Amino acid sequence: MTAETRETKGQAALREQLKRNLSDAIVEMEVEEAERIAKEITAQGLFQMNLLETSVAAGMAVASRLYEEGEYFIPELLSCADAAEAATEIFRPYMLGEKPAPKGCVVIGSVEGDTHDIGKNIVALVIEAGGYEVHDLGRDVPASVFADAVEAHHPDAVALASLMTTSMGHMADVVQELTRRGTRSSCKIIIGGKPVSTSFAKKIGADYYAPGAGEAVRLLDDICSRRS
Amino acid sequence: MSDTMTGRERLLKALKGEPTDRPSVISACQYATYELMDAVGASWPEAHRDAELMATLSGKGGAEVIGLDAIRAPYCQTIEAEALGAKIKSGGKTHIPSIAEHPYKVDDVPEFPDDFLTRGRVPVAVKAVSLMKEKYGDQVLVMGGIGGPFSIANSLIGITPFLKAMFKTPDKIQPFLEMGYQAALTFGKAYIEAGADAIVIEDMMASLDMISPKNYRQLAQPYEKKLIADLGVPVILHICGKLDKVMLDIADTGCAGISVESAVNIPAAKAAYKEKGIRLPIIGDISPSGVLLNGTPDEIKDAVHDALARGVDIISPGCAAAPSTPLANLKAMVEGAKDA
Ligand SMILES: [Zn+2]
Repeated sequence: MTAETRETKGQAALREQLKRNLSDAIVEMEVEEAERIAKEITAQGLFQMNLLETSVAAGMAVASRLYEEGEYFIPELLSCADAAEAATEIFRPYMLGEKPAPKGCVVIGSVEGDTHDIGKNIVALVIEAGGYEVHDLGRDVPASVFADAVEAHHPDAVALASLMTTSMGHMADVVQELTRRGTRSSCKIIIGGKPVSTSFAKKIGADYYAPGAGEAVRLLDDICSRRS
Repeated sequence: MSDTMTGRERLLKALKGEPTDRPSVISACQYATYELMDAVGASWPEAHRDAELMATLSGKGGAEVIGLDAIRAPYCQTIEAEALGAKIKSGGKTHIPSIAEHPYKVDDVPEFPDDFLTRGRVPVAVKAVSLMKEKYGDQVLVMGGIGGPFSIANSLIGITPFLKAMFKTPDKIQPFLEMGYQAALTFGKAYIEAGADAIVIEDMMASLDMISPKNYRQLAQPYEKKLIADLGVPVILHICGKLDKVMLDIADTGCAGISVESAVNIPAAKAAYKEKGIRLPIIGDISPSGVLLNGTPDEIKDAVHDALARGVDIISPGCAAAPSTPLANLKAMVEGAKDA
């Protein structure tokens, strides 16, 4: 009898329990506990690919909701991400060849002039946890580098972040650079960050403004479901 | 109605809560814009590293062209980090300098350099303040800008490592906070020596967009408070973002004025201050990425009137002005205060 073919009710129940525990450990920022539960899951032969979504990503989704509600702040969210990453590391050897196709592809970065990448990092994490292939270009990224990445990866969307009123003007440069190179219509442009807004997105010719990570994922789901 | 007070008199009275001829208008954070650079013939990037140009752009630009009641230098928050070893990337003509490489890792033990005041752009900003004081000191308030200890500490190791360490091993960030405090105090004292009437502390990383009220109270506020006491001149404290939960803690720092964005519920803060007998003027909250950047001069005048109606005591952009802000819009803030 193998674990894959004939799973007992007890094992299924145990998996359910561990799945919830792992999700809770991520929300509670317990890195060691998340790692321990992930090890228990693999040691018991209970790993399934969908745990990444139903447990790890689900925990991060709760964490980002708590952030949007003002319950969690960035240090808390970073610690949740550490716990999620610790669990994913344990699962990684068991994930080979099984990974489901990503829902879509996203290029993300903080625009030139902005070296604050914290918000962008959070959004990148949540988008990746949401099932997207993410190419993170980092911080202080020139328009030409965004344009190069669009040509290299053919993303569904480009996500631009700026935390500063003094650098948000560079978002317009990215839109113009894509237009100049003829790739503007190949992808949607989403902007985010404290100083920007829907009206600013409109003004510079971007497609959307996302006030937070959760909204960015909802927009991407919408963009990718309307594709094809 | 024409002005009967100098900007200096008006702002000093406004900071004390005394009556003025009309509402005072300043820009607590940076106000250099492309059109302002053209108007006075001093531009980025040269103005970041040349005291004369910095004094022209900030002094002539602020006092003569825009008509602000206070003038300030510099334009960015990277000067302390540069002097403490950060590698800086020029922002060119269009943007402010940024940090390319942080000087420390979390596990390092930083040591504050004796020659801080001679490093990087520190002497440029100090000299610019003395030039501005000489030329405009009898007309407007001259202010030197420094980072808050919490924000400087962030810039020494980078936001993500800093915030992670703050959460897990708070002992490790104490030396960086101490160093941030020393840098801010040393820089601030040098401005005062050079003639600054007031200091602006920009503590953008101490925002509740970043950290919890508990962390603000434990790690940011005590250093702000100590710094303000040790500077011994009026201090305007600027923090970005939502601050509703810590507005009383901010008042407790002893600052002469708090500069905020429109994310703050100003009527609620005013009511809480009144109840506690706190007379701290609130400075703000014209949206630098909204109406100030995109609105018409008439819309900006309306925004000024609206801010005054909500209890704002001194008009200012809510944060740094975007460099592409039209000059007419900055002037409209002053016009809005004149016909208020
Ligand atoms: Zn600000």
